[in-house]
Amino acid sequence: MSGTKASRSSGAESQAGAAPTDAIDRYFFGDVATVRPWLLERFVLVLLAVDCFVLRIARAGRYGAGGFNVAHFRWLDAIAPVPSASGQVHLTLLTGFLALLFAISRPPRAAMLLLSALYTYTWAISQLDSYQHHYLLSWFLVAFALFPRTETARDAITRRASAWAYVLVLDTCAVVYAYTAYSKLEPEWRSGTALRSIVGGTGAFDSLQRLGAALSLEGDDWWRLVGSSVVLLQVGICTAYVLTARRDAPSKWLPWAATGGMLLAVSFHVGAELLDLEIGWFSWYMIGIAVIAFSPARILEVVSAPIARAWDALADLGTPEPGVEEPRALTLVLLAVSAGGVVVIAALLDVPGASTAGVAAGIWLAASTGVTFVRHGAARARPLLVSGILAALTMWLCVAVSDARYDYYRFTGGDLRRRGDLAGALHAYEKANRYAPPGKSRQDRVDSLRRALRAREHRTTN
Amino acid sequence: MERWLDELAAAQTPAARRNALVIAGLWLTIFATIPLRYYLGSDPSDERFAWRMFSAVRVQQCRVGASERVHGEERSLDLFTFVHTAWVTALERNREGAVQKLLALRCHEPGTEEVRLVRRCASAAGRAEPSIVYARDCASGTTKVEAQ
Repeated sequence: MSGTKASRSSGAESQAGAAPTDAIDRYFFGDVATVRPWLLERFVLVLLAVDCFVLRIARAGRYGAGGFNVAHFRWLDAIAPVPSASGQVHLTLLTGFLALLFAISRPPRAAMLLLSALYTYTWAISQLDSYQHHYLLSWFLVAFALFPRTETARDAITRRASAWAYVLVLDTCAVVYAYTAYSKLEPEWRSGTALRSIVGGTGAFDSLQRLGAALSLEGDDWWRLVGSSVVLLQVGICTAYVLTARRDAPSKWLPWAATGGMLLAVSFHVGAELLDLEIGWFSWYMIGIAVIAFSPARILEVVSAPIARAWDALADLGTPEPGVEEPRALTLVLLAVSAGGVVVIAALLDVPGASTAGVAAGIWLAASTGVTFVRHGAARARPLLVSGILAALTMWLCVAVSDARYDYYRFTGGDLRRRGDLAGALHAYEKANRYAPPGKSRQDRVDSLRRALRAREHRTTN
Repeated sequence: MERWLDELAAAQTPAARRNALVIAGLWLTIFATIPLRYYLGSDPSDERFAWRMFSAVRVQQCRVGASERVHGEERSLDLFTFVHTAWVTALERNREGAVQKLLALRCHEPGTEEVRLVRRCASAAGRAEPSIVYARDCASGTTKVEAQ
């Protein structure tokens, strides 16, 4: 199931096809180093997948708690069922699995649209998830469906071609920073009060404050300067994103503008991380996008070369030896084993909803591989099976080595305890203890809940 | 559909380029227009989709308290005993949908005549903002909103 036949010729055609005429044409359809869209798509998909497995699973237990939910859109509230914790785990794991699978294989463009719809549902179904970058990623996933495709990763990282959907992603980022800058024009930001409130006692700006003091800039004056400068910084990033669509055009000043843009974007988001703001992995997404968009293409080609080699090696796994015809039955057996493997791996996660996610992922893998096998033969089908197993193993690894399960169960336990479900809370905390990092056991909670349940039972029997 | 998407992505023909530009124009127009919902709307606390990360509104420190009148008797409500902590945070941020849903939910409890939610906030500068009081009459289903 891969639609790359047209894309094989797109790169070559762009050299001989209709050249951009006016400025808008040049802006959107001028040649771009295709390593950028190729790397950006993979970076976002992989980070999104890991985000699903590590952060979002941890918080899935809150969905549907007490039967209470409000979706982001009224019409969705009216037609969609109240989400449940297991349902959210199911959808989140499936989304992460597909994102990872698509990053390391050649999904149909339509499949990317499906992923966008699925991902969007996982946050739109509840205002519990109000991370704005999740909304932004929904847009990016749609754009990825229209990114340039090539037959091999090596082609992707070494070519120049039109990539208007990639330009659209950059302009989308520019709009984000434009509005962020506008919102910082409020009096409380310009006066530095809001920033001072955010920084608080974190000490994040101590060295900058000492520098300011050396320049006789202290107290309210210092905060006013820094607060106001945030506006300029974001305007600068916005401008850089608009300009960098033409990064790979011959120009003396564009590389400097791009470098400036990257420094501004990276410094802004690293600063946000140092402040320990509760914004999920938003900063890491934007830092990665900035590095890919603004860096010289040559550097990106060098960095992505080993990734491209691995990607092509995976894609070549199914290629038979010349003159050797392998029995179709072998591929079908591998299909069954791989799809079954995905189901088993997911079930081992030991989180409610993981087993059904594994079944859904297994069905997807089996169906997509089956279609690929029928249309393109074993050479294309087999790499997809290996990719599926790799995606499932990565999913298991991310959940297993992170605190995702510990957090899922301890958050669930805390909520159930507050809402009076002591038996449910006890079960959740016992599970949390199974996955607790050293020194973070919830045994005290388990003991107090056992005592409370015994006391309640004693009162009941008396 | 796959072939149409391939042609659109490659944008090598005049028709494909025209379609691409239309899509790009619509995309950017919609994406840039959605945040105006905040600036042209009437709810300064609902900053969703407006790219107002860590605005002056977001850094306000807010608390909510709830009470209800059941069979003529006033009593306070511990929100944490029937909704998740994360929803209490949503109430503190004055999410209209969450507020209305909570008030409606409590009104479904037998004997409940009125439910009140009071939100108190301090600005980034530490200044107390006017409290917002939501009072829902369970019989009529109407909610009064007052700033105090």
